[in-house]
Amino acid sequence: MIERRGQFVIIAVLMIAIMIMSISALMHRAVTYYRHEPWEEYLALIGNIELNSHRLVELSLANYTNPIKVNNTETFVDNNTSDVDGNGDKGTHGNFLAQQHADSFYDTLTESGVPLTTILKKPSATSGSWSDPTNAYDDDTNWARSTNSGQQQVYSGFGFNISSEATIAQVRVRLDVKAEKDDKIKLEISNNGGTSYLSTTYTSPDLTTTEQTIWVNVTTWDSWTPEKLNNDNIWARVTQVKSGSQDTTFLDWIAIEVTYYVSYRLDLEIQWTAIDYDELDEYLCIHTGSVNWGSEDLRVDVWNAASNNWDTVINRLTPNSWNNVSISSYLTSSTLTIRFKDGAELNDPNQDSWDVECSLIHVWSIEFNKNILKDNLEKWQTDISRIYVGRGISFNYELANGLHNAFGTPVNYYLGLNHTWWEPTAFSAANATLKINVGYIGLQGYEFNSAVFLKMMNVSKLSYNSKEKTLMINITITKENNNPVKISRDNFEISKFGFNYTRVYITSGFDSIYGPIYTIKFEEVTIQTSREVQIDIQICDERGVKVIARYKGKV
Amino acid sequence: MRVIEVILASFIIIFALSYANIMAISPTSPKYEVTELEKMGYNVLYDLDKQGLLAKLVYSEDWDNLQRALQVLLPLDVFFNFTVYYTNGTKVNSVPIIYGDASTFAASKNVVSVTYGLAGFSASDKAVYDPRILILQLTRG
Repeated sequence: MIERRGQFVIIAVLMIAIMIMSISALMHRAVTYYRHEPWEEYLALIGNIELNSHRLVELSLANYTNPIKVNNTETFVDNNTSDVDGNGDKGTHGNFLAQQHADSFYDTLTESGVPLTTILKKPSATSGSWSDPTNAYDDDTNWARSTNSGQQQVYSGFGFNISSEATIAQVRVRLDVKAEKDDKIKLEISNNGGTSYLSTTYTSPDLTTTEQTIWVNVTTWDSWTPEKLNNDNIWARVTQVKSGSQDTTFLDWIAIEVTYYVSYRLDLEIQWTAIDYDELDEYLCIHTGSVNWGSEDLRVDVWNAASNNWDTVINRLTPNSWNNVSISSYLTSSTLTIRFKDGAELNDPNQDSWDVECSLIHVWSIEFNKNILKDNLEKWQTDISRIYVGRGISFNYELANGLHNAFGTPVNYYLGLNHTWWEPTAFSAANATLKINVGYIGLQGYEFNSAVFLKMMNVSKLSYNSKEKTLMINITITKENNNPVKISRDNFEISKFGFNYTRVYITSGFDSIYGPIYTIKFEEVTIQTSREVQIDIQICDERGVKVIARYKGKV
Repeated sequence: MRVIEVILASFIIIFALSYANIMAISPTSPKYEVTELEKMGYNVLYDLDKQGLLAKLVYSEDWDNLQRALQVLLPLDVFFNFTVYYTNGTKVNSVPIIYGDASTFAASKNVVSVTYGLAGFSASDKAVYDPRILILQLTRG
C-alpha cells in the first residue's frame, strides 16, 4: 500500500513537472517577441549606416559641384599715362589714386571742352571803291560811304582763331548803317578768302537817315566750321544799292560775331600692366559712385590688341554699383588698356562728371575636387568605428569608374564622380557601392549601391518672339530614377550673353511627355548686333547639388 | 523511501520552474523593458533621420525643436536625455536636451543608451562632411 502511494507521488510529481515544462514551452513560443534579438538592433544600425552613407555620397557630389576658386586675384589699375590709340586724353581725373583702391574715395572723371562763347571781331583790311572805307573798322562817328549803285567794298582780316574742335553755333554780321535819303546796302559773305561768295545774300530795306544797327544772321548760309572762319577765310562784301533816285549809303561799322563751343568730351585711358591673363574667368570690375553722375552715358571700351581698335564692353556704366564684364577674349597678355568714353561725343555744350570709386581686374579659375567622394568615404570608414565602438563594424567601398548608365544617361565616372556642364543636356552624378561587415553577428558583405544624379535638359529650343520682344526656353530638371525635382526661384541663377532684358520670369508647368517643366521667359528683350544669344542656367537642388546648362542660338 | 521520492520530485519541480523562468521573458521582466526601449530609441532616431529632420535639427543646433520632435515621437511615460558629440568626444549641445527629471535616470534600474551616427548635412546652401555621434538615453518614468 505504502509503495503504491510512493509511486503515485512520483507519477503526480512527474506529471506536474511535465505540465510546467509544457506551459513554459508554450510561454516561450508566446513570448519570443519579447526576447532580445541582436539582429533587430543591428538592422537599425545598418539602416543608420546605409542612410548616412548615402547622405555622404550626396554631400560629396554637392561639394564636387561647388568647385573651388583658384588663383583668385584682384588687380587694381596701374596707370593713366597710356596712349595706345595715339589720340591723347580728353577730360581729367579728379584723383586717379582713388581708382587704385577700394575705399570710400572717388576719382571724378570730368569732360573737357569750351562752353558757349561769343566773340565779335572787326576787320583789319579792306579793298574796293567806297570812300573812306577804313572808317568802317570801328564803331565811332566816322563813315565809309558810297554814292554809286553797285559800288562794292570788301572787308577782311577779322582775325578769328577758334579751336578746330569747336562747333559753330551762330555767325552774325553787324552793319551800323544809314542813308542820305533811302538807299540800301547789300551784304555778301565769302568763306574762302574772297575766292567765291556764298549764294545767299542780304539786302537791307530802305535805310533811314539816322544810324541803325542791323544784325544779319548768316548761320544758315553755310555749314560753318572753324576752318571757314580762321586764317582770314571769312570776308564780307558790301554793295551800294540805290532805292529810287541815287543817294548815299553810309557804313559806320562792319563786324562779325561768332558764337561757338567746343563739345565737352571724355576719353580717358587707364591701363593694367601686370595681370594674370591665363585664368578661366577674367572680369573687368568698375565700382561707381553717384554724387557726380552726368546725364550722358559713360561707356567703357577695351583696346583690342589683335585689331588695334577699341571694342565697347560696357555701353552704359550704372551709378553706385559694381559694373562687371567678362574680358577673357581681350586678356591675351599681362597688359590691358581700357578707356572711359562719354556718350555724346559731338555737339555737347554741357560739361558732365562721373565718380569712379575703383577699377580692377578680377581673375580666377575653378577646380573640381575629384577626390572628394573618396576622401569623405575614407574618413567615414574611420569615424564609423569611433561611433559604434566595440560592435565590430567596418565597411568597404567601391567607386564607379568608367562608363556606366545612370538612369538612362551614359556617365563616364572617375572616382565615383562626373559632370557634364555648359551643354543643352547637363548633369552631375555620383556612384558608389558600399559593403558593410558586422563582426559581432558574423555579417559579411551587406552590399548596397548609392547613386546620386541631377540632370537638366531643354524640352524646347530657345525661341525669340520679335513682336512681343520675348525670349523663352522650357527645361526639365530630374534626379534619380528620372524623378522630377522641385526647384524654387531662388535656386536658379541665370547668366545671359548677346542680349539685354528688363524682366525674367520662371514658371513651372506640366508637359504631357516630360511631366513637370520650367519655363524661363525674358521680357523686353533687346538683341545685340551679332544676334547670337546665349543663356547659362545654373540650378542648385535641395541637397546642394548643382548643374549648369547652356542654351544658345541665333535669333 | 518516500523521502527519496519527495526529494526527487522536488528537484524535478525546481528544474521545471527554472527552465520556464529562463525561457520565458514576460513583458514585465527587466530584460523585456531594456530591449523595448532600445528598439524604440533606434526607431525614433532612424525615422527622424529618414525624413531628413534629424540631420537638419542637429546641424542647425535647433535643440528646442529636436527635443519637441523626440517628445512627440516617444510615449509620454518614456523619459529621454539626448546628447550630441563630435567624433573626438566633445559635447556639441551646450543646453541639455532632456525630457523628465534627471533624478529619474539616476534612480531607474532600466536605463538604455542608443548610439546613432550622422555623416553630415547636405542642403542647397551648405553641404559638409562633419560627423556627429548621437547618444539617446531612455528610461520609463
